[in-house]
Amino acid sequence: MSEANPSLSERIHKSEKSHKPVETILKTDQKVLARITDGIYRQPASALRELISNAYDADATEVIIFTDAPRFGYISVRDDGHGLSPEMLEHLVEHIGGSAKRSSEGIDLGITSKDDENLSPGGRKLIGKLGIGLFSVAQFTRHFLIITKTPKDKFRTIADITLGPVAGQEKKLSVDNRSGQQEIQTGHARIWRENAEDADSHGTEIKLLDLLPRTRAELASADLWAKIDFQKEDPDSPNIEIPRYHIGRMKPKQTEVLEIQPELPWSNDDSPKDRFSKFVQAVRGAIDTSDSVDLDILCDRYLQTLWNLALAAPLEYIETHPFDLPADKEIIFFELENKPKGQAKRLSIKTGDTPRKELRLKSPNGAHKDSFKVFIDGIQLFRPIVFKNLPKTSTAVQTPLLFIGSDSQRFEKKPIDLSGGPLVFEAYLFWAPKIIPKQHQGVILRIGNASGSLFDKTFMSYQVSEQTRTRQITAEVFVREGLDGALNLDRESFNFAHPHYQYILKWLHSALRQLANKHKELGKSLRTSKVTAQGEKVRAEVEKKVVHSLKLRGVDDLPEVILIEKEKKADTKRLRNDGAIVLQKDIVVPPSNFKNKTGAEGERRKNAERKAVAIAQLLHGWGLLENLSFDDQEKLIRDILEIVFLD
Amino acid sequence: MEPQEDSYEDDIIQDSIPVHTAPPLNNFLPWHRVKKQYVRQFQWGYQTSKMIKDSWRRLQNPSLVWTLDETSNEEVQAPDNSQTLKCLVIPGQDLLDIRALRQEVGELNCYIRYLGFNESHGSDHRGTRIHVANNSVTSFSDVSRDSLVLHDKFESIAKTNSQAYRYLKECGPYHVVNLDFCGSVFPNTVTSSQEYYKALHQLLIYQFEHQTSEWLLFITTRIEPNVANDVELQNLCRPARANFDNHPEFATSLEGLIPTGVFQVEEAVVDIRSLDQDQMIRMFGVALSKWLLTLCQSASPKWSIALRSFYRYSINEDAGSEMVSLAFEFTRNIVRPVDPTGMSQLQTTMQTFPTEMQCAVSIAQAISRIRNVDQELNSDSELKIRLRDAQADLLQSAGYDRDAYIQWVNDGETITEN
Repeated sequence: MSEANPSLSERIHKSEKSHKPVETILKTDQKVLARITDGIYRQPASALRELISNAYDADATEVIIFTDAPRFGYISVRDDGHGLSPEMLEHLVEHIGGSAKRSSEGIDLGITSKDDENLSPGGRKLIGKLGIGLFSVAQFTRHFLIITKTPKDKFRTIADITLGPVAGQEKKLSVDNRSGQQEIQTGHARIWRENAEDADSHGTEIKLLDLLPRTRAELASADLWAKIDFQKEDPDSPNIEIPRYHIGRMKPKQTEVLEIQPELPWSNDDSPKDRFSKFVQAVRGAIDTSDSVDLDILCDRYLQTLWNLALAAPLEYIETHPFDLPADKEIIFFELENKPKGQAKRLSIKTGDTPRKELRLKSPNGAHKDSFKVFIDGIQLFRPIVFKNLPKTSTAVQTPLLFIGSDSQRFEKKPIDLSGGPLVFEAYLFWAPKIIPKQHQGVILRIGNASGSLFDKTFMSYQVSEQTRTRQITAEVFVREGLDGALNLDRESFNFAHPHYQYILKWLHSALRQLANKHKELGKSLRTSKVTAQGEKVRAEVEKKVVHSLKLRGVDDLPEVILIEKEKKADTKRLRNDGAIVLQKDIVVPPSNFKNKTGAEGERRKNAERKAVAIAQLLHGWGLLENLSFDDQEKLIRDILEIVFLD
Repeated sequence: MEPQEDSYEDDIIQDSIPVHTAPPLNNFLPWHRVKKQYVRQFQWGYQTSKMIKDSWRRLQNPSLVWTLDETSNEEVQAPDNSQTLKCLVIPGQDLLDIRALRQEVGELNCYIRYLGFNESHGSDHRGTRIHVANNSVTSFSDVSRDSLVLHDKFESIAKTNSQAYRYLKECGPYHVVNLDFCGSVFPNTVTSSQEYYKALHQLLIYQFEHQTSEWLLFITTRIEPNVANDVELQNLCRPARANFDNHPEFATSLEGLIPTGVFQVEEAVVDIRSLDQDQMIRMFGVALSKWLLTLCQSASPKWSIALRSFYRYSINEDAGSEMVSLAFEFTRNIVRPVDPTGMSQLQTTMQTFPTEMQCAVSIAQAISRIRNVDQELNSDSELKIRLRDAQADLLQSAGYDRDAYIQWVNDGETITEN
């Protein structure tokens, strides 16, 4: 740029000496603006998620968020990432709503890796889109500050930005000569540079000021409290209970005092990690008082927001990544087969080994290579999915099942423009008798270990009627390459028609079928062994009873009773001569009484046979069989047995 | 942030279009004066570093006990692990107090975590300055990044259901509480000082329940004898009068500070009207200190209090008013159990703490050592230049134009905007 017409970044640099801010207007093209202002984000928390993504993409190791809950006077999101240079800020301000990530422009600006535009300078797989993420704050406010500093810079750059109408200025329209697109003035910025003594520090802080009333109301669960207020006035209204855990409520028309004090599952003395651990424990522990745990009922909007952010961000698991679970008896592992009609096979993992080692899985636990921590109001977030110490239920299969698979599709035979390029992913489906909270039922798709969406409980529109089983599954797909192109602008939903989405959908549905088959098979076998074990117990008790009764009568020697099959009838005489009591099995225990060939019926029959023997032994011990013909002996025992088995 | 209203549109539409004003960085304010830097450095910084070093000394030598007497500020071996110094402050828009404190304690391997109260902390230009200053200060490696400045006034902590009190509990207990009041703790007829006393009482309740180590309380306030509130001032003086009546030792210690005749009246607690400006300042120092001592002695366990230093300085633009800065140190009276029977044979040191009387006498002695900051600066031009430059460094670190500041000081420190 010439000196007569300096660029925005040149003017920003000049403010170092002049101490005078640079004034500029924010521009964006009409299409982007329309999409943003249409309200692409469903919840205000989406903006926090996007700002966390931006921090991750800037190679931050730590994000500290302060919300001033339940007042929500202002919100601050601060990271220790690379920070924005005046040049980056210029790009951002002049292309707000766009993104220089995943582009050669991003490389020039230092936003992305020099070798790969899909990676951060530090090598992380990019998960956000800077300009869009930043514009997402429009959900919260029309006024925010960006305070940013790059390493070694002796100045920090501050941008005070207002979106929407600017006092005293009309909307200005201009046409971008290159694209022919109409550009719209979307806001105003005042930018300046200030001396920074802390030359080594770096990072970006976004301060969301003048929060929009509806945003504050939403974050503060105003609708919930309004319902509770209404209930007090009208006893006939539906019963709404105050959530067990909440951040409290400000006194109406007050910004100083709370009307209702917070009820939180942790205390001030707990460390940031312990606070979140206690939150997870409290959610899991809620199953003790109800059949299922619903975050919507248990927690207010603020705590739900914490939970949802913890699910979305690329964080470590609160306990263990499912791929790092040690082989023990608490979980049964299966490997999924990559075929439409494949069958999962049980994994035998050596003690001390993990599925990650056995299947050579690569999805990272938490952030790539290094740590990435997110703190909100003094609480450190972790991925709140746990796989151990689950509640016991009465279902046949008690042990959780973990199905793990991976796929790598290069689509080499298809044109890249149609296939969208390679798709590489790993995934697990975790079956447990109860999924806590119920919001974890479903599947979550993660790109670069982050996710914009919550669990999809339809499992990508799985059509098979598996209502009970699908409520017992939580699944995550870790996409290591691809799928990015299928993400919609909101980064919360997918373009269903995209081949990558469709491929994962088919893979997932096959995985669900494989899980269902194994689960059914396991359930059947477990039920059979349970029935067998019960039957054996009954038979042992019958024998014990007979021995005891006859002993009281002074009979120590138990007579041998043989139930002979029809086809072996010829041996009867010989056996009787040997001193045994021989009874025809089909007469004493008629097969017609046992119709089904199930395991339970088999056990019932075995019990009947054992009881027939016991009755014969007792009658013999009492000397009551001696005067009866063999035929009468059989009929008497059969009749007694039928009475015994009458329901 | 506007309070919630009753009409439908207030929950949907804001009252006005947000306006941003970049804060001016060459517009200097009362707390930029060199005399304020004197207080920061020689009272707040010095007392904090001395309290830290004293605690190390006692750690290394358990036979040393906390004392009302002035201790030496000799160097002492720092512990290997860095310590977190929790501070509660009422910061100005540039957080200069925290900037100065970190310079002082940074050498002591301390890590600062602060909670600030500043009600002008909104989206106006003062608010913007605080946001930027908070970012800048917490970027230093020896300051915790989750330090906060709340958009509340300090007095709000008096209400246990306030957001301010919630955060007081969340971030405490504190080693240093620096209350540089915008209003006046001196009872006056212009503004009520009642809320300050409520908040101070609440602060002591919280600290006494949660703090186990020594801690410092700095109170800076304006003194305006011309508008003294007689009734409230009488109440504040009650503990001092009781001491005067009952303890000749205390009465003697006041000689030369305050005419003892002011306590020898029947119709009032103290004959305030007969006090001149200097005597009024000393009277207020004694009364406030004795009020705090009464609270300390009424608690269980008791706490001892020492007035470590007492400064006064004039406010140029407001004749008749003066500022005072008091530095108090508190220690909890925890006495180890003693076995008089000799059964345990365990070697223990008998611990004693100063009595109420000893604390009161020590307060009077500290009042007598009052330091007049204006005089100190006027008599030592080199010191003034040194402090001016130190403050210029702090202001530069806060984004200000260093040269413009030095010029402003040299031109007589005239305030152009409040």
